[in-house]
Amino acid sequence: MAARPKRYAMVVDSKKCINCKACVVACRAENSVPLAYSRNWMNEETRGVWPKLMAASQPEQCHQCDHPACVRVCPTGASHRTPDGIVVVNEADCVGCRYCMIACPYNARFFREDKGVVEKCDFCVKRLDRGQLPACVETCPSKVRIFGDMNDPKSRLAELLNNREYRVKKPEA
Amino acid sequence: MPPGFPKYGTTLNADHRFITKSGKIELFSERLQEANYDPLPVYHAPAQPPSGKFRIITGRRAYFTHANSTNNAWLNQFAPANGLWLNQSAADNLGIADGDRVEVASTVGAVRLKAKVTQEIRPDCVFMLHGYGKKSKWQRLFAGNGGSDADLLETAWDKVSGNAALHETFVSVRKA
Repeated sequence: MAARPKRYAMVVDSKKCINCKACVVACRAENSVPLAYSRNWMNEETRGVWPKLMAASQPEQCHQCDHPACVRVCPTGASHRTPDGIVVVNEADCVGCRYCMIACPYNARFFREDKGVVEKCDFCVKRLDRGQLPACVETCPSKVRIFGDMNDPKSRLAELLNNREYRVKKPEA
Repeated sequence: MPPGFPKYGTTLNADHRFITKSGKIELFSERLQEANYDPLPVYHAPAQPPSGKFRIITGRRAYFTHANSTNNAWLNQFAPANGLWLNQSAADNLGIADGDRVEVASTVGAVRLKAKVTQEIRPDCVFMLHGYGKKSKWQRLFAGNGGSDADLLETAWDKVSGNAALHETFVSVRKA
C-alpha cells in the first residue's frame, strides 16, 4: 500500500499567545518580506468596561484551504496546491492580476509592488524541505503554534485534533 | 562553616550553612530585628495618590527586551512611540480625548506625550511604556519618540532588599 500523502496543517492555541509578534518578525526575516507587508498577522481584541475586561490575541495567516478560491481564480496557474496540502504561488508564473487577493476568504495575500507578484504564507516550504519547522513555529516562545502532518496519527497535531475541541474559521473554504 | 555556628544534622554539602545567625534559612531574621526592621514580613499599605493625582505605572511590551531592542526597525514598528494610558472616566474629568497631547508632571520633572484613553487601566493610575523618549540621537528610530518614565520617577526603594520601587510616584496630568 502506498503511503498516504502528507497533509500539512497548523493548530493555533491562541490562549497561550502573549502577543509578542515574534512570529511576524520571524516570517519577515525568513522570507525576506519588507516591513510594509506581512504574511502573518495578529488579531487583537480588548472588550469591556473597567474593571470587567477581556483581552485576546490570535495569530493568523493563510489557512491552506482544502478548496482554495485563490487557486480557482488564478488565470495562469501560478497559485496552486502542492500534493501535501500547501497553497503556494509560483512567482515566475504570477502576472500580478490580484484576482486571488479578492477571492481569498481570509485576506491572507498581499501584492508586492517591488516584485509585481502576490505573496502569501507557504508554511516555509524551503524549511520543510530541509526538515525544519516553519519559522513562526520555531520562534514562538509560548508554543502557540503546533505544526505537523494531519495524516500522521502519531503527530502531536493529530493528537490535538483527535482529543481537543477546535474550530476551523471558514470550514467551507 | 564559620566558627561559632551551631551544629545541625546532615546537609547535602558537608557542613554547609547559610550566612544567617542561625546558619539556617530564617523566616524570622534576628539581624533585621537588631537593625530595627521588621524581623518577619509585615504588610504596610502603600501611600495613595492625593485627589487629582495619579499613580504612575511603567512596564514593557513583549516585543522588546527591556529597553534594549527598541531601536530595532523590525520591532520598533509595532510600537514606535509610547502614550499615556488614562482611564476613560479620568480623561473625561480632565477634558482629555484619545490622542491629545498631555503633560505629565511629578516632583522630579515633566514629559509630554500622547494620551491613550482606554478602559484597560484603573481610574487612579496612569501607565506609560518604559524605554521611550530616549536622548541618544544615535537611537535613530527612537530618539525623541514619546516620553521617558525616568524623567518622572521619584527615588524610592525597599529598605530591606534594596530593590527599586518604581510605582511610588504620583503625577498630575493636564492637556498640553
